[in-house]
Amino acid sequence: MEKKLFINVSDEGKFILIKAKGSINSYTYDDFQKQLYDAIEKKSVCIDLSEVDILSSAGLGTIMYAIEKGEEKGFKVFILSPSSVALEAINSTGFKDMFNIVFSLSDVK
Amino acid sequence: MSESLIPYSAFITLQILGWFIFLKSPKLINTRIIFITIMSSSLITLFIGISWDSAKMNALEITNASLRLTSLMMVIANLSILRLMVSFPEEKDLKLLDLLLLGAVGIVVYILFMTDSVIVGAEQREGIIYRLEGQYYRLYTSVATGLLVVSSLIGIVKAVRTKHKIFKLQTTLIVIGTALSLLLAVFIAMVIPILLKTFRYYYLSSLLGFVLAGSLAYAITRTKLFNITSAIYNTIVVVVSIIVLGAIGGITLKVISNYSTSLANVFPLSIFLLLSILILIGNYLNKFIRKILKFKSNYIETLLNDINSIDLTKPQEEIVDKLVKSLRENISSTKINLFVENEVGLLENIYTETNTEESLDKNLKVIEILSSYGNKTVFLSSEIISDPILKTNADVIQDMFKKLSSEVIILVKDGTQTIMLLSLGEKENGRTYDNYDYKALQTIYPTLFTIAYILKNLKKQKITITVNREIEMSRTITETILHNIKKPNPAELDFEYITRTSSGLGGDFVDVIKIKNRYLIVIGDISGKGLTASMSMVVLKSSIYTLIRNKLNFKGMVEELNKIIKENLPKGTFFSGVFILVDTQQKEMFFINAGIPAMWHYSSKLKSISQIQGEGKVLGFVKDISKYIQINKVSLNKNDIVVIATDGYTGAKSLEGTTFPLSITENIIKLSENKNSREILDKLFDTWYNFVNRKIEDDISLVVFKLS
Repeated sequence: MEKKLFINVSDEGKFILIKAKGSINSYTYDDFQKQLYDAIEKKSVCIDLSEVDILSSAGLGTIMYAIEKGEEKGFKVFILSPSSVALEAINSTGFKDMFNIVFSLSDVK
Repeated sequence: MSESLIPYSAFITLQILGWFIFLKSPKLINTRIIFITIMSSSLITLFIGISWDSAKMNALEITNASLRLTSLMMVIANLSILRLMVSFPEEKDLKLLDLLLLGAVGIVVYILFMTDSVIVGAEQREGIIYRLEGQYYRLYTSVATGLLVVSSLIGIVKAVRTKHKIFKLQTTLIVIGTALSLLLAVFIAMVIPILLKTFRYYYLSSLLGFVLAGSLAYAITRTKLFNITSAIYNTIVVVVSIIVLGAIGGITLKVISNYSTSLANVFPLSIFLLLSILILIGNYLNKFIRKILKFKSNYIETLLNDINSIDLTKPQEEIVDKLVKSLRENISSTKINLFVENEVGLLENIYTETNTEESLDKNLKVIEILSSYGNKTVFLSSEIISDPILKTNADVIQDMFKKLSSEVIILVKDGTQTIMLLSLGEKENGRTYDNYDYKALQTIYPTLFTIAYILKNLKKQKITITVNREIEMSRTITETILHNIKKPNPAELDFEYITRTSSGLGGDFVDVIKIKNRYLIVIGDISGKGLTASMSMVVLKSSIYTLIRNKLNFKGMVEELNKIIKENLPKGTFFSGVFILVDTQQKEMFFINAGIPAMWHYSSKLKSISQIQGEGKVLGFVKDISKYIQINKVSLNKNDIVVIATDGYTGAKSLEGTTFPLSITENIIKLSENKNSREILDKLFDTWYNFVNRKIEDDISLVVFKLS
């Protein structure tokens, strides 16, 4: 099973795009957390979860904190096209409405 | 009938009060004296009620006997007050005086029942009792009243002379109560009958005993000082609220009665609605008055906010500095000391303003005494001499207070183990710690508990990093906590569970706590990893015990836990799980889903299985969870099976990447009606474990229970 996480960060002008590929779990979330927290300090962030096969509570907690941090700074966190696994994890929190889920980069505002 | 309700109600109230005081510390001499006073005061009220009713029914012989008994009880109550004031606050066994007082009671019995010199009899005129007084009635009442005057004078002298503020307060309260009942007695029994020539208000005499016994009981149960200014402010709030609410209620009722031909038609509903509205207005009014009066002494809210805002992810020194600053700024405390349990079980001094000793042995007699005092965790120095239990070990406790130069000691306990000791010295403004301070310290206790756990484990973390044993150490803590579960009595609930972590350090946990006839079962997962997650789990588990100790209701407990996670655990931490309350006697269970992914119920009656978890909301994501969670109820029958699994179980994948099919779980459960929980659990786990090729990728917890 693929346990690695590949992260690609790019500045898209109005927001920073973080593309995650692989598993976001207890073993891998450190780097994801660092990139996400750094990014949300500067501007809104869009996290592409379309190629994520595991999103554990550690990863979810990181995203949840980034949402909160973003609110304090006046920025937003968007989740781009979550994979079925990622979507299921988000649904399991019971607070799906609080995650800004979008399916196209043009929806990131 | 309606008038005599007052004395009868007073009688019942005083009986309850008397027994409550007596049973609290029946061996103490002062308690026994107070018990006699309250019992005789209670009987005064009863006999007043009987004489009032019997006179109305023209049963004058009963009235006559009741009046004499009332007079006797009055003397007994006053003599016992005198006896109390002679020895109070010490516990003195004064045999000679007791014998003399007993002799005096004997003489009074003779005078009252063998002669007519005090009371001749009773008459009834137009339904109202008239006492026929004997030639020595005035002398008798003067002597009885004199006893109270003498008692009050002794009390005043003692209050002035005693150096202990708590005794000053207690004695003053007794003197005030005695003086009040004296005034009441003079007013009801003398001023009204003489000036108004009527005994119409005789039944109100019962209030005399009520005031007397009530003040006595109130004084003696005050083991902590209270601030007179706060008391006056609070009285103003209550009085203003009552007046305003009373006026609103009165006007509304008047309006309702004007619009209705018969008040009785609308009475029940309108009164209910009115009361509800008044209670609502009362709450706002109370807050409003407090706001406009700007109560400076009310600092609880600020203190709580300050302490809750401490960032527990910061280093130990920073957490301690913030805590000390909050205590100093809000309570004006000085000479603060903080001790936290270290790796060898000693309470190690991590902050001192008094250059006190470096560590305290938890086995010190004084710490054992204080930590074994039930649920009490905050101790004021004034309580040592006023609290009946602490009093018996006053010397050793006082030594401790002196050693720490403290006025307050707070023990933060995990079960019966003390994990932190916080001592506060005298206040900067010279004022004594009072009841309000006590309440404030009790209010911040849950947060102090969290801080204690963090500090304790930060210390441990520091050490383990130094010796490169972080994993082993933390695993030990987690395992100790995880395995420290008291399983339910198998005769009531056949309960089994399994928890497995992927890295040896996890946030999954299972806990069972017996609360009276019910079992609280908590299964869940704290987000994060390693040491942080396992420490968060420890804090959460311990907070549950604290909240239960504070007697919060089921939903309230979950709401409070959400707050603790949100405000005190590292940012981004959340809890997903379920809280279940199983009532084995009523055969039902209640649960709150806080994000548990799967919960099955197999009904032996219907031979069917269903997932019952419904929609859940994780804790720690929003500040106020109250509107998101709900209590669900399920009836249970014998052989019904309940299985709960965390996401590590439901989301597990095989080597090929296939998710574990939950239909496998359901089939196993369906075929297990006659198996016990252990057998079902083993079967479920083994099947799952084989599916994931014996490689656990995420923490899992699995619970199975059946009614026995």
